[in-house]
Parts: sequence; structure tokens; C-alpha cells
Amino acid sequence: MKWKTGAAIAILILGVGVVIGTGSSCNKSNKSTGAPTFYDSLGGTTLVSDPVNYGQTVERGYLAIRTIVDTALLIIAADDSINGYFSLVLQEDSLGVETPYDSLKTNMANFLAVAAGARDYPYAGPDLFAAHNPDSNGNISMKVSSAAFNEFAFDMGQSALQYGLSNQLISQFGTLLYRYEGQVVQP
Amino acid sequence: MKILLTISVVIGLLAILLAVHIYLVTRPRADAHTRAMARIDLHQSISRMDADSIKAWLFRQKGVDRVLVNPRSAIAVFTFSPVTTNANQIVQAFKASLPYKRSERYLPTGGRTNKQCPMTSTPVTNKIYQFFKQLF
Repeated sequence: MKWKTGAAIAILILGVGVVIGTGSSCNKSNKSTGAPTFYDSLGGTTLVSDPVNYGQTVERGYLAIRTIVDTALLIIAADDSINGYFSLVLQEDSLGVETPYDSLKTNMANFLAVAAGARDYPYAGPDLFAAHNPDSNGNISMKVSSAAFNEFAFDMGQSALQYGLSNQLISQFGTLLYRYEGQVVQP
Repeated sequence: MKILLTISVVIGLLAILLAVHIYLVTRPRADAHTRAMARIDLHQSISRMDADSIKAWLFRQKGVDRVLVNPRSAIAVFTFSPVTTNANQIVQAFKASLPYKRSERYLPTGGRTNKQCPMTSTPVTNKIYQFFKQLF
């Protein structure tokens, strides 16, 4: 049963070449034509009360992405095949408002939200290609392998499944992630 | 000339001292929304049932809000509020309360963090960024 679920996620996430239904809707260029984006499919800009920030509202689409990222970071931290890439989030010596964990969570959520079509949650982190290139970024000592990226996408897919996304939306999510594979996995 | 130089050095040192003082007094601190993540390596194989009981135990700890236990890797991870609790205390209580005496908190060392996901700023740059963000 468990392997079946895993296999299903793998097929959905890794089979990104197949875009189901409105799969191309996550293309940013659609914003100008008014076609629904992947962000719209997740709830879009509809404001709902923020479950973790009392008295504040959050866009439903962003809440979905933030929750998926939040759970995914736990899954990744316990996944011994890729958690070495994310070990900084376990550091606790930050005395600022944001810990490294908070910082990564926000950066990843905002990056994915913008990629999905959000306009109100700007991503201010580094360019993915430069950030994952050891020649231009001293913070990363080795390049990310294709296998590691696949495992990352798989963990994100598991999180999306736990969140309750439909198979179609998980497939679209996989498509969105793999748009950036070439920037993260470098020759 | 010598007096002028001495006065300049003293003024310079005082300015540095003032800057350090302003930083220490005004630097942003963790608040109720701040969350940190901690990881416990169990160093022994566990079943799904074991994982569930570990998860339940961690959830009962004050300040802990999210928990995941992976029986395949024998790793438990949890997020917590640093203003409410301390991860070292939780791990100590964990070892004292549950039959996982070989378990230990995993904290990355310098060499290991070099392979990190670069989307995260380092704690130092994060602190500096937060400090200036608050100032301006």
C-alpha cells in the first residue's frame, strides 16, 4: 500500500512531460491573457484568515504553497538522502527574528508562489542558477545531482499529497518544479 | 599633531563603541512567530509504531508545533518556538523518558553546512539583513 502511494507520487512528479488539462496554466505568460494560473488553481488571491498569524489574512493560493513547503521541509529534514543539502535549517544560533528555518521557508514559499503566478509575495532571494553554482556561490561546495533533485521533487510531492492536492494539481506542481531543474542541476 | 592624532583615535573608538551598543540594543530578537527546527538521530531501527509514539511524545512538549518521524532513516524532526522552549532540553528529556539512549541531537558543523541549500542566507547575513531591514 505504502509503495503504491510512493509509486503514484513518483509517476505524478516525474512524469512532468505530460501536462494534464490546464497544465500549461502555470506558465507566467498566461497572466497577460487572463488564463488561470497554477496559483489560481490553488485558491488564488482570495483572502482567508491566516491560521498561524492571528488576526491577519493571507491569499488562499499562498497559504497552500506555504503549508506544502512547511511540511516538505520536515520530510526533507528526515530524508537522509538529501537532508545534507538543508542542514543549515537546523542551526539555531540566529538571534534575529528569523531563524535559518524561517528564512528558507519564506524564500521557498515566495519563490514557488511567484513561479505559480502570485503577484503579492515577491521573492527576494538569489537567482537559482547562480545560487546552485559552486563557482559563484561559496555557500555550496558541490553541485546538486539529478538524483537529489528528483528526491527533492518527490518529497515536495509527498507534502502536496498530504495537503490534499488532487492528482492533477500535483502533476502541475511537478511541472512547475521541473521548470527549474536545469538551473539547479548543473553540468 | 600628536594630540590631534590621539583625539582622532579616541573619537573613532568611541564611534565604534556607540555603533556596537546601538546594534546590541536595537537588534531584532526572536518573537512568538519565530520557529526553529531540530533533529534527533535515533541511531537504532524503529518500527512505525515506535515512530508514532515518538511523534506523540514530542507533540506533548511545550513549544513544539510540528513533528515528523521517519522510521526508514530513524530520524525525528520537529519545529519549535525558541522563545518558549529549548531544543537541547527537549532532547535531554526525550532520552530520559523514552528507550532511545543512543539518540542525539544533530547539529551541523562547519564542513557540513558548506553543502547546504543556498536559498537560505547564513545566520550572520540573516542577522545583518534583519538589523538593517528594521533600521530603514
